[in-house]
Amino acid sequence: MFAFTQLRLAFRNLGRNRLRTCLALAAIGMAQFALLASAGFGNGYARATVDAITGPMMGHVQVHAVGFRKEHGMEQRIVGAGRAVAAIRRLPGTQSASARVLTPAMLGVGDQGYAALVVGLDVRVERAAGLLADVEVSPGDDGVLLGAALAKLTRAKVGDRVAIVGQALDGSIANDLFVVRGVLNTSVDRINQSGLVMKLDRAQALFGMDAEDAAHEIIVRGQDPNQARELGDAVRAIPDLRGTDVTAWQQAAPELVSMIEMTKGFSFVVLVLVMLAAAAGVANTMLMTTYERSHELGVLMAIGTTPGRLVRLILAEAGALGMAGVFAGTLAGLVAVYGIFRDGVRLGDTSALSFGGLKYQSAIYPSLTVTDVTIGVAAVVLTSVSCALWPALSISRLEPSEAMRS
Amino acid sequence: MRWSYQRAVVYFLLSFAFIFVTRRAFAQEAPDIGKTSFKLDDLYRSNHSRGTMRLRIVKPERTTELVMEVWTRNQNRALVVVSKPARDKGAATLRIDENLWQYLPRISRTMRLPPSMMLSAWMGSDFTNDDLVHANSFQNDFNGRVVGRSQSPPGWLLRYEAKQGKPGLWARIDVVVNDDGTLPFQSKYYDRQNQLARTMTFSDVREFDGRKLPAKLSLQSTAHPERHTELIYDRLSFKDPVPDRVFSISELEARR
Repeated sequence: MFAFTQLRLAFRNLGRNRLRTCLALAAIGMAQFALLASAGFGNGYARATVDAITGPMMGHVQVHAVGFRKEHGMEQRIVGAGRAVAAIRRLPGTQSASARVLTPAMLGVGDQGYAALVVGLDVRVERAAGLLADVEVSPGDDGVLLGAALAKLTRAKVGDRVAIVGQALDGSIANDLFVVRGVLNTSVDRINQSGLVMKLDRAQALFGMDAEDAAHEIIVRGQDPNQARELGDAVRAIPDLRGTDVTAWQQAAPELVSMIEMTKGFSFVVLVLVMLAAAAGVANTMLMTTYERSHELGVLMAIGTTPGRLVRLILAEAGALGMAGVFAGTLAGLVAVYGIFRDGVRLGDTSALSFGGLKYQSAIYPSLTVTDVTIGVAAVVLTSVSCALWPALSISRLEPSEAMRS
Repeated sequence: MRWSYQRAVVYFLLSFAFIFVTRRAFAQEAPDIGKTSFKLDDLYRSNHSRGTMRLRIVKPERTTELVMEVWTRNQNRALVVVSKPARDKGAATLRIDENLWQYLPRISRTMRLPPSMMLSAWMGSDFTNDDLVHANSFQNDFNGRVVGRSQSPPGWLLRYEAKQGKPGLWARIDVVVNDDGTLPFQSKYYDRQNQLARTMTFSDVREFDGRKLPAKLSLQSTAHPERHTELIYDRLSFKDPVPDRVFSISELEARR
């Protein structure tokens, strides 16, 4: 009851000079809006980056033979890949798992050769969530999909018969003819520039890896990319994969992880700016309010209001000002993130934009967490109350007669 | 017995002559760098050559051996055709000037290797496609000098440093040659960061058509010590002319 009375008094006092109060509210509200917008965009950007990293090429967890990540040697393979994939799929945290053959080769179009990379993969799994997501064409048993840039370079068209030549596992020359079944435009630069995508079993047969059911890579996707390390630990414990190199995406792409961490640092900078804006708005308002009402506050003290109660009254005003401003800013921020930019913030044509060999989506979808909102609210309220403390204490220390005279 | 003056002089002169000759015999003279460089460039070359060689790729898991017929003309034409094993029989590599072509009988296709694949392995070995096209010229591409005697292997150590402005993979090649500078024992190749990249060893010297040549070349890559490649000449002839038509794509495809 007592607190409610103080709050009523606080809001009434704030309403005495509406213009000044509105300006302070606007400053605080804008700061909170900026914080939420930046956090929302940062969250969306971080998620887009994680999706770009883990989505089509890398997955959440990768399994390779030791040394393959550095040397990409044909002999550095996982034997019995099918059995290993089946075991990984039985793990509780696994959403999907698939094996790939990855080996350099020469693509022959007409009488001209071109450096290329053969990617043999499980078409069904990769179409659901992988390299062939949103790709309608299939390589089929005798076909291959060409990366868009490679197709453009070679002028190969759908229906053309092309040669693929490489080194088989037994040292012989792997070579065969394939039909171009489609052109791929993925978010992975490397695939677009030199990718030759074919069915996994076809690639195994071409390079003599079928007898061992061998593959160069197993890609695992879990429920949550942030749980990749735990999933990697579970994969590493599978007996069929003892002695292999199991890496979570954070370990496979540390430079991209650093980029995501940078956005968090940026959010902290914005938070500091928000607090400064709140401090400036509240400090100015409370200073003016307190010293303008010295006479009134002196009267209150003269009729028995204790200094402590006076301080609480002024702090309540500051708190109410901060709360009102942050509430308005939060509302605006939520409307912006989940209303106006619900369909994403368009970045324009990002087809030529890539980082770390990965293309980004053309839109960022902002999102907020409870923590994002709470941090702003707490920071503003704390700042508001802190800024009002000094004028409140200085007034409360005055003699009532002195206060009434000022 | 009393020594006569004349007898003493004769003995003195004979002794002096003996010492002089034996000292000359034991003092080894360094080979002439110009002549040695020419010899190294010309080691397996001539206006024409044809032969049979084996390419043995030794890896921890398996050893692969290809038997190949080879024809060369001057220094810018070469044809290599695989005759064994059966699965690769007929596969061929044709060099015409700076270009390399590969023919595969199974798919009846001839393809020109792109420049981006010049550093790729040739036939899966430690030799690269670039080795076939851009053989180093010690005379033209390097400044050579005699460093001194080598202990292992024993011989003369020659140092060839790449000339300024000359493109190529190697900043330096150290070659150990025999005493008269006519045969190499070992070559060490240093890349542009001056790191030892690979070592070539020459052995099994035999006579081919009147020429003494190392029949076996072993190439060891520093980056992959677990494997190496051997090139063994079983037969090499320099006398029979090789017609120009051998080095053509149509001839290549007609071999199937």
